[in-house]
Amino acid sequence: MESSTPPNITQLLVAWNQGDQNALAQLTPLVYGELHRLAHGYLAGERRGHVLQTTALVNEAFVRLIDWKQVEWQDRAHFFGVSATLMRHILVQFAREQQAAKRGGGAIQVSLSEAASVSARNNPDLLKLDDALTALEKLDPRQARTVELRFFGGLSLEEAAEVLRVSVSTVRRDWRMAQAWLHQQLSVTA
Amino acid sequence: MTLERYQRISQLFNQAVELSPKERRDFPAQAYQSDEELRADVEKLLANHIEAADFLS
Repeated sequence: MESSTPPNITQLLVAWNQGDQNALAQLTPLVYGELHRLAHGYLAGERRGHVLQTTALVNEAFVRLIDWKQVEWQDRAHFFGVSATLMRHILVQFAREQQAAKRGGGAIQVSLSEAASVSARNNPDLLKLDDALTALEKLDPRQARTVELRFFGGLSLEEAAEVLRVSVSTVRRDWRMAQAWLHQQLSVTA
Repeated sequence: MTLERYQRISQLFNQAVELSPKERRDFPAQAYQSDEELRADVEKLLANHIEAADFLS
């Protein structure tokens, strides 16, 4: 493990949540760097076809970067909100590189489930999911963002509600609809 | 699909999904107003909703 946590990341997170947009611009590359490093390290030593635990990676980044005793759960939710977007980008990029290298063989499978046995439906084709999510962004940006937060960030309904500044029941409706629609899109193009 | 169409489908889907099976049978007539394509779209999603219960989660 690296020697010490950069002291300013926790402060940047808190400052951003208090409305300092500049703090987000400084925070993003730091979080991206750590997530990328963790994801790369994780994938490098693994056999193809393994399941990548996105929640575990984002959690690890959080524990490494943030003095979590100093932050409220809302701050944590916002950190995971930023991480979700970055995680999506990193994983899709990996999937593209892997597809190019192996001509479609051994695509990275991703799961949020911590369980050892994971059903196939929780390991969607990442590139197809990314395309479908991009299409959904045009039809209903909030629904798309909800999926990003829940799937790539591992946020609970309550945490997603905090990040999106809507009620939990709104998140639940958005999630339910997006889930059904994306499932349909991925089944059709499979 | 247009944005308006998607929003309308979302709204009807979320209404229908919370109904009891009996209520859902009476739902179509008033909700879709003989727009059969709209009805088909919503019903396809309702079927997917059951299959997709733990999709991505």
